[in-house]
Amino acid sequence: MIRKSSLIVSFLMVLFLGFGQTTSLKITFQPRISNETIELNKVYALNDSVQLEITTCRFYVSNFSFFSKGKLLSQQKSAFLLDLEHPTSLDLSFPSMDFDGIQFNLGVDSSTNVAGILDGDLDPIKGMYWTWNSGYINFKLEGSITNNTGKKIPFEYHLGGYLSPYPTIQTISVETEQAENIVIQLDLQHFISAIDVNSCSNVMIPGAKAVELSKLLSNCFKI
Amino acid sequence: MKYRILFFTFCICALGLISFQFKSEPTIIEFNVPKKWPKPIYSFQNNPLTEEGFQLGRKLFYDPILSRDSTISCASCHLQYTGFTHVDHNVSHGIEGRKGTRNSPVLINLAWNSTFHWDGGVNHLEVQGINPIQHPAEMDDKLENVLKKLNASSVYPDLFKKAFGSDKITSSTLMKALTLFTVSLVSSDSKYDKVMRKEKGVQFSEQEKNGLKIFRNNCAVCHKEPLFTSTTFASNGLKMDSLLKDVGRYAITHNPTDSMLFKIPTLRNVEFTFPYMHDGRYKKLKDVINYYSDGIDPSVSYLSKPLKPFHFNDTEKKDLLSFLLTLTDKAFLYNPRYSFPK
Repeated sequence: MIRKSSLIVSFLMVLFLGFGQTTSLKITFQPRISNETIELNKVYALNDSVQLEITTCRFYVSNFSFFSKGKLLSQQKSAFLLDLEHPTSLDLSFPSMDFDGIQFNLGVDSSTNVAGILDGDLDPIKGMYWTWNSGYINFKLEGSITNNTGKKIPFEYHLGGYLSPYPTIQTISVETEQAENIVIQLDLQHFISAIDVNSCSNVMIPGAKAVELSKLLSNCFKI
Repeated sequence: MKYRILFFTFCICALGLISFQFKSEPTIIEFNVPKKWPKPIYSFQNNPLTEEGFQLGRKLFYDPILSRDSTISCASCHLQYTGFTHVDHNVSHGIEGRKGTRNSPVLINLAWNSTFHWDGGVNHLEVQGINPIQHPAEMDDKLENVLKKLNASSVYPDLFKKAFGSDKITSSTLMKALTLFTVSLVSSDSKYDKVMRKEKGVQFSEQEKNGLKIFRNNCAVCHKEPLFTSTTFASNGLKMDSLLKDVGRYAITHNPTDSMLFKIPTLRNVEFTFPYMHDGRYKKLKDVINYYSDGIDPSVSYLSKPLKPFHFNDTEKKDLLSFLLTLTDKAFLYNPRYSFPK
């Protein structure tokens, strides 16, 4: 009798663990400069005359949807804070499935922005929340560029804002041939090169500039 | 053998019962919506109103532990007897006597508001409290640091456990506790309310009756009954203070049509909430009435549409004033449930 029930329990456990192992799809985000994964506080040569250093790179991705031949397979309404200071935060796990397209938001959606106090990655102590103008900072990039005359220009881009007419959230779609261990690259060289850092070194509030830079960013993701 | 098994079973059940009692749930209390009032904006869906939560929020509200040097509590700028505002100060002062740029708003009937601050920059009551905690001219601390202090305290972890089921204090439970106190500050028992409810023996005087008529004809569009605010934004045409340079709602939306717009404040308990206006420039209610009567400059470009100088005569001014005094709610201002917890 006892042997029979313990057999059933072991069988259930094996079944459970087995499922646990097969239900993991890993998506890794890789912020990059010239085909290298970025390390914070390291100096990169953007070209012959300009050097770039990044001290903070932190952003939200949310609401992942998985598609197969254009048909929605699964949707997950949650937000993740990715922070280069904590490299493990760049790895996300999802139940595995047979898909060929992923769609996600860069940033936090408007319903989350008006939901009051939240926990986990959305906790205001994560430094990604504006309190005086309630709302999440979707994307934070800080660092400096140094030009060939040796002049160092620090920059701070805190992109956020959910209210019309300046919503900054971006929808990003990527296609893939494989359905496991996906790496999504974020080409920050493309982003920084497209900005005249000299004339625009700080964006710290919601508005037209935050929208412009967010759109620019949305074109920097690829598989 | 049989008895021994029975005895053990009994012991286990007893232990279970005892631990169940220790793990008692917080006591749910009802949020009373006054009759004929609109539905509150705050839903309590993710933060049920409990006695333990309310009392914890009340304790926090009066505790200077929320400020960097433990000198300033919420109550420093929001005193109950004056409708939870900072009486006698045009702009409020916080830590080390540093001055802010605006008159501290009253905390009255917050459950019916969807935006907070004079510019409406805060979109939810639960996140409002982070502002005074972190503002350099108010409490000048950091939320993380306040959480550290509370978690290290000898009393708070236990109180949070009773209210929210966990003794680990987080941003979420801290802000929810504060919310349960501030959302409960409901004023609905003024003479005006009693007259509207047709309570026995309570009547407006002739002067108050005339005042109500004047009020309804001129002021009630913005200061809408029964909250005495439409909770939206408007400009009453006040010229910008040359030092404070406050552009109001525009600072939040960057929409040119929001320039110089401020949130319309409630007039409940207005007798005690002086000084008046977003920058506290008027000390007396009489000054405010005089401004709306004769002080508005109709050529001001940002003046909100229906506003114009009302040109009240002296009797009308007195009548209006006597009506405004009927909005005083002593049961609210002296409610022992809202006062410093002993």
